[in-house]
Amino acid sequence: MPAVRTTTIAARLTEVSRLRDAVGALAAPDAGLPVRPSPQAIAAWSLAIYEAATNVVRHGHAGGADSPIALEIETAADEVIMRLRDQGEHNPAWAAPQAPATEQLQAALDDLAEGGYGLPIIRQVAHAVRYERTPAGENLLELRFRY
Amino acid sequence: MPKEPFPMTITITPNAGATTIRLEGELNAVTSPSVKATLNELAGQGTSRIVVDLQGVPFIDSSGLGALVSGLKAAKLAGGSLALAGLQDQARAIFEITMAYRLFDVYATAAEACASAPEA
Repeated sequence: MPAVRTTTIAARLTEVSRLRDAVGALAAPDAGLPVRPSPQAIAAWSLAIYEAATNVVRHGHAGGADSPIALEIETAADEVIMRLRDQGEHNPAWAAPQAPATEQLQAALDDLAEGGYGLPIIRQVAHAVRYERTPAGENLLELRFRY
Repeated sequence: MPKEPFPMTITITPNAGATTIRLEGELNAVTSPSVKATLNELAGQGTSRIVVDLQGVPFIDSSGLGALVSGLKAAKLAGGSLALAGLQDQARAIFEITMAYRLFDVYATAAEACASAPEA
């Protein structure tokens, strides 16, 4: 049985940082990971989860709502799998085809874009991103990170 | 255990040749609009060199990066410059992932950034 830890917050921007704390806890010596992640890895995963959850609050919950967002963290032999579950609006942006993250980031930087870095950051940090609207009407966003 | 709802303290110190804007708190989805507005206001007032001191900023997200880019654009448009100083490890991640380092002059400390200011 893989270990799964769940952290639940309200879908509000002021709450999202608590999910970073949950990711940060993976750095603890007793976190039970096969490999101790580097501080850089923890910082990158935390940022990706923060960006993903912020996106869920902004676009799925009209900027903020009392309904929950749950983060499940599953540690496997060679990767960490993080799932965000929420009952907000369907967000087709997650499922849309994307240019490679590095290209998007490069284009944004060359254009000195003042926003729109969130999704490319997530795709740069996670090696796999999967979005599903479950039959129960729940959004499931799964991000996988290599150790 | 609810956290404080993200206080962000912004301290502006005009020096000869450079104006330092010291931020204390997370530069995130909640706080970045006020930082963006402050940077644009400073640039619009004709501040020739803006140094953003990030020593007290433990985290920067994509909206925070957007606010800094906005300030950089406004400063350049006004014929000035914007430098970053005191980046913390956690906050550094977004610059490494996006390669945004190459947009900004980055210094270890605000004092160093101010000392390197071009003559007005």
